Amino acid sequence: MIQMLKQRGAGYSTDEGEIQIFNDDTKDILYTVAEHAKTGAFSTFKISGYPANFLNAGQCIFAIDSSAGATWMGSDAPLVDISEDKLVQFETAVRMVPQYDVEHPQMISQGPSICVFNKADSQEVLASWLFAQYLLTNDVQVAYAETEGYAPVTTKAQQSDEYQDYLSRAGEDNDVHYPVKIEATRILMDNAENTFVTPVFNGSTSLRDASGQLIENVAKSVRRKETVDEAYLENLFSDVLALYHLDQLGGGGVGGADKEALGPLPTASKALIGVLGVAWVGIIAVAISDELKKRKS
Amino acid sequence: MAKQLNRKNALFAMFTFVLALVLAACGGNAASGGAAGGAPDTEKGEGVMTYADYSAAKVDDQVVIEAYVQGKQSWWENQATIYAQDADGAYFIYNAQCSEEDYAKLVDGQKIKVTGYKAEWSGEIEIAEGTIEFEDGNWIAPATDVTALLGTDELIAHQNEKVAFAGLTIEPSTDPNGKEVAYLYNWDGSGSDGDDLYFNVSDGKATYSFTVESYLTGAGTDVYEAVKGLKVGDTVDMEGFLYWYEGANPHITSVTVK
Repeated sequence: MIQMLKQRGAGYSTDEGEIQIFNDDTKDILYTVAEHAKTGAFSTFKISGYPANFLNAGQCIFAIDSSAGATWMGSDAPLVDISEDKLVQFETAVRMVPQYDVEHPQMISQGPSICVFNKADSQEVLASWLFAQYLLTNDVQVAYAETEGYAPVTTKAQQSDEYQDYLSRAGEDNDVHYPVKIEATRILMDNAENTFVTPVFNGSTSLRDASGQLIENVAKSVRRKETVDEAYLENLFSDVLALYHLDQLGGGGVGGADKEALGPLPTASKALIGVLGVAWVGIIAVAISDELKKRKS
Repeated sequence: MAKQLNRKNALFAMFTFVLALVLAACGGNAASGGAAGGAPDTEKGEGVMTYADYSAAKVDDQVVIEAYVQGKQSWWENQATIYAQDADGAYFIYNAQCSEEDYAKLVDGQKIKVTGYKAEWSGEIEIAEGTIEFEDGNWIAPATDVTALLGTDELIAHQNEKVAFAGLTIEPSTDPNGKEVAYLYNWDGSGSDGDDLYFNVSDGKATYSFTVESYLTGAGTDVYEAVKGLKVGDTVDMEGFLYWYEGANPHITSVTVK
């Protein structure tokens, strides 16, 4: 839903958290969902199961999943949940997610995230930050990308010799170098400028969930022989708005009133930032020192 | 006089004995379905489907069933997931509306009526978006031994039932480091203590994947700790619920090493 709204230039939310999703474009999308759910051509993970299971059993002509989901898709996928006797042999083509305007593609970028929370014990925060830095190292990024199918989150890792070598070996095997998985990653990396993320504000997760719920509800209603019309959609909007408390978000968001409510930075936080700065100075100093020693020898 | 008194005593004793028998019989039948271990109701309430009707219903049809709770899997944000069974079959009730207070009342054996929609998720037949009503009755289903049905087309007829497996052998699983182990945390060994346990068992003909579902019987429960103590080659008897995910995926609730 979020991608389709973005592709259509339709409202989803502002950066400050003003909810814009309940609009005519959303209704239009939901009518399309209803049309295809009615014929049985469309379903969702929550309703039916993993898209790859249906694709691999020859029960659908295309399946949409993330770059990580590509590891499960295709006759020769290294990870398969259906029994061997249900697998159908076919050639798998990998494409970007369907677009309203193929000349100006828009793809949502999302995946596992890490947050470092503020804690009373600043050492915990420091340890968390150091762990986050470890996760950003090439060793971790490249290894994670190779097994899971996500792209490394740093350009440094993406451009590393090891990762480039991995990409170049697509098709060598149907395991680490599974071609469908690598091709999905290549499409993503070749279209990095065509990706977008959604703004984060208090309630942004609820909005994200609500946007998916609209599709779930319409698909289920159609399957249950209910009528999806203007009255239905108006009720659906109202129900989802209430269910996810979207009418209570107040359009605050990260840059708005919330910042004033938080007040000035606590002393402990200032001290922690100072410690982090000193730590980085130390890291850089050691790196320079090692480089100088290397040149001398 | 003495004779009259003796006769009266005898009559009184006999009356008391008969009364006691009658009360015992009535008390045994007072809760329809009987006490735990007794028989389930076979008559369904008005508008309630028999298991045969439920089985014949199409996916996405509205369904109304009566059954007895056999296990509780989870509660979250006023939604409960439950295993239930009646005399003829079993039901997986997924995310039914249920307050936390009511969830506490859903003890094993409790009779309930559920109204919801029949759904199918990756081969698992379930009742989705249900509402639960409590009814009088109590029954704990015995576990049906389905060992001989493993690998056959007949096994699916027992989906979601309380089942037993006898004399299966623990086969090795391979952990992320390539080492052979008796079980894994999560399906791929990526988890840690507290996550689902996956382990392989063999009946001598084929190998099957069984699970200890951590929401149902998590860390600290007898079965969870027992599976962690298993060794490759152990012969085990097990009980559980015959969950289905793209094929049989039993959720084991007890393990005994022979």
